[in-house]
Amino acid sequence: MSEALQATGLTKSYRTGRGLSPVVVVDDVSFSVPPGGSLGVVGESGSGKSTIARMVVGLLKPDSGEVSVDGRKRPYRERGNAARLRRAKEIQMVFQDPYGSLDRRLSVERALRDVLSRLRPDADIGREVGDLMDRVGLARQLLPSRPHQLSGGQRQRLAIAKALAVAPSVLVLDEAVSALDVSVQAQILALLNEIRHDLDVGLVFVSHDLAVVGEVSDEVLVMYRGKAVEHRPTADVLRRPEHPYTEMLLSSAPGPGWEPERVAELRAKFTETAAP
Amino acid sequence: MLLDIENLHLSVPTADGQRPILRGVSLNVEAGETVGLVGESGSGKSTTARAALRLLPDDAELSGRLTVCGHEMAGGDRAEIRALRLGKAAMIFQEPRAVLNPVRRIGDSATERLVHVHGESKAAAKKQLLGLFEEVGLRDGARLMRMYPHQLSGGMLQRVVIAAALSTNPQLLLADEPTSALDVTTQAEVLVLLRRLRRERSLGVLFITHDLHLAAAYCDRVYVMREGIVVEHQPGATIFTDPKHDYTRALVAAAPELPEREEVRG
Repeated sequence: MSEALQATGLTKSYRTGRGLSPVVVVDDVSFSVPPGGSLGVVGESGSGKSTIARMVVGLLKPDSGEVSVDGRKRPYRERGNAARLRRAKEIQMVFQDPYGSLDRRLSVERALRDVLSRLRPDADIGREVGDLMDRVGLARQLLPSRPHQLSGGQRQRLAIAKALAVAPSVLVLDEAVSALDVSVQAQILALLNEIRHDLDVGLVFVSHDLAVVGEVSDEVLVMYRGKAVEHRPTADVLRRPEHPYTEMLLSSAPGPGWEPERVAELRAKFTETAAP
Repeated sequence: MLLDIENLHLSVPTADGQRPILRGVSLNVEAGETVGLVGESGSGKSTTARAALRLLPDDAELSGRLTVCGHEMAGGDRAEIRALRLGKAAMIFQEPRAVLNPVRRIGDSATERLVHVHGESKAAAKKQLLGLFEEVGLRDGARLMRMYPHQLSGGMLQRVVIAAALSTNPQLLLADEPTSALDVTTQAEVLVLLRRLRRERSLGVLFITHDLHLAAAYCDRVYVMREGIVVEHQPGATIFTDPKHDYTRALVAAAPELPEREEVRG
């Protein structure tokens, strides 16, 4: 069976100024996600995790490396509606702030109808809208509401519904639950697990929060300074981290016995030894 | 008592009448302690801190007792409230980028209080700020002062804002989600700093956060708020292990936890 998503040798660097050597933000990263599987990508700010998400989706073109969905190489360069439609059906993305991806003038119903009529013109749109609402757990009474009338959790459900409207093979989530309260966060994580198992969608779940990633991923990719320093099943990474950087990230999260002084010490030591 | 709030009610007018935001909040902060205020969005935790400095809309209705450093804030006169805001208490927020003007140099923004409010000369204010930068662990202060906010990381900016907040020697620091936008590692560094400052300056810190794990591990005492009411008040050491209120229990259950780590193999 072919993987839902296969990324091979993704590399991206930026020039920061004239005469300066380029900064490599993602350095030869490869991974795959089976249908219904979920890969967590974790790291600190600047580790390259969001850049990976953007390259997978096609918002950024990698310097080298390629992305395939369902065994077919993604057409980065092809222009025109057919190629765009194919890209949309392959991969969809959900961001941290649903406000940024929702049109505040459109009702929930219009938002969903718009996506469906553009990307799946032959579908029974009225029925599909209802199905999507059920799928993501939004009550039908909310159909006439506009984004500002929804709670943060409801907005994120709507963003997920919009992404699912085209029945994508892969869903990329960039810090999609980071701005939500814990109780809402738990609900959205449960929803994501349900979706991937029921619809066989492959998830790429980007987050700075290892505990959250633990709830929703089969495998974890730990990014440090553009490199994947660890890539193993989630339970192994969380229980038996192999790379000292992962170990440090795990001890940084507040919990029983946590002392900020110890974390800061570990971090300082790590920065010293890892500094070029 | 640096901050003493008793039975505080607050409501704001909406199209369908007064809407209650705080419904009988009581809490206090002593010098030298860090007190956590935990709750979800809309619980009233930020409003409580804002009420303490009377950073409220004009049409908000306020009742109850509210004192900062022994001065009445709920019914006090404007001049007194202003003086308190300027000297005795300071507030820091989640997003330092929203506090600092993006087109002004760090040094100009951070000395604003000293120069424009306390009437110090620019040179004296900058000299004082240099010392404060050192105190909050920012090196190369003179160069930093000439930089713009976009040139610094979130952690450094939060230090800048903390230094600016300390410039008038406050006794009470209201910290509203000061580390929520930072990486866990940077968060720890800023928390170490806040703890040291609290000790060295005997600051009282009201630490507002949505993160119950963090509040339990970092704060001396923790208040849990929900829908404008304090539902629980406990020492940080026990709130996670022995939550009394159903809501706190629900929060504890909902917070994602890392699995226990196994001993590192030799």
